[in-house]
Amino acid sequence: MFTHDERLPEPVRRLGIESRMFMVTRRPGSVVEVRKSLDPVRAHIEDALALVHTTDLPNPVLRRTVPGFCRAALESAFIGVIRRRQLLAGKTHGEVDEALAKGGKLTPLAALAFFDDRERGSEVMARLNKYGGWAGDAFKQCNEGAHKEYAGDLQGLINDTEKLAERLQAL
Amino acid sequence: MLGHADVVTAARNLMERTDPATAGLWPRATALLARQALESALDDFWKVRAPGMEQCSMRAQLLCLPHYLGDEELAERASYAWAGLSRACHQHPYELPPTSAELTGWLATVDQLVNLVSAT
Repeated sequence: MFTHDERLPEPVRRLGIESRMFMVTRRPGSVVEVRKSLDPVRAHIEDALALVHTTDLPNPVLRRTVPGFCRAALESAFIGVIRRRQLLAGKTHGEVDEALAKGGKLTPLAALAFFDDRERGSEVMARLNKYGGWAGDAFKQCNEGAHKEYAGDLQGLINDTEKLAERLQAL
Repeated sequence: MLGHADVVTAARNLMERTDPATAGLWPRATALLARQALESALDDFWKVRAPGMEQCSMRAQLLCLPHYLGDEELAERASYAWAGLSRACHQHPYELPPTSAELTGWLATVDQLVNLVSAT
């Protein structure tokens, strides 16, 4: 099946249905590339790793892009948690989608995942730091690093993001 | 440290240069770079034209931009480009990455803004 609709892969993954998925992207000039599609958290981590290890992009470009992929991994982890929990609580897919659309960016999504309340963004950092200071730091660096050149250790940021995403997915 | 124009060039190269290593990841990487170029160019613009504005939210900055930039049409396109790029930088459920045509359009706007700002 060929689809533009992301609503197909998501339930296939969530319900654990055996499948093989590929993603197709088209560059300018209709240069088409196909690659295996992973779950979104894993895909963003793999992209961050690929940027650092397999591209020959200049270091400042890596410093401006890797944190954005790490942030997308965390956003995907939060979205997954929120969706699973709200569906289990009997909400309809429509209601969950509405809550996620209102959730918006990283901090309100985190508040929704931790406290079922997107307004409790101010408590997110303290909650993250219960995992250890590294978790709050990774969250902050992902968010800030998406807007500027990140000065820290990129591999360390990817590792901490991966570790944090795993904790979040176990919520 | 890259200048705004270098960041725009890097964004364009990522999109246009066929490279298996960046397959599938270039739309987000291009959007991240383009948005950073736009935001940092505006940051410099405000520091000269209306110091303090750079501390405000991007939403507020873009609302004020038509009154300061001297090119209302470009200011509006910058606002549209920022909204599109921002959406592309975040993860949304059930949303596909931006197409190369969308990114090309937004990049052209960012490029123009960067040029105008460097000339002020």
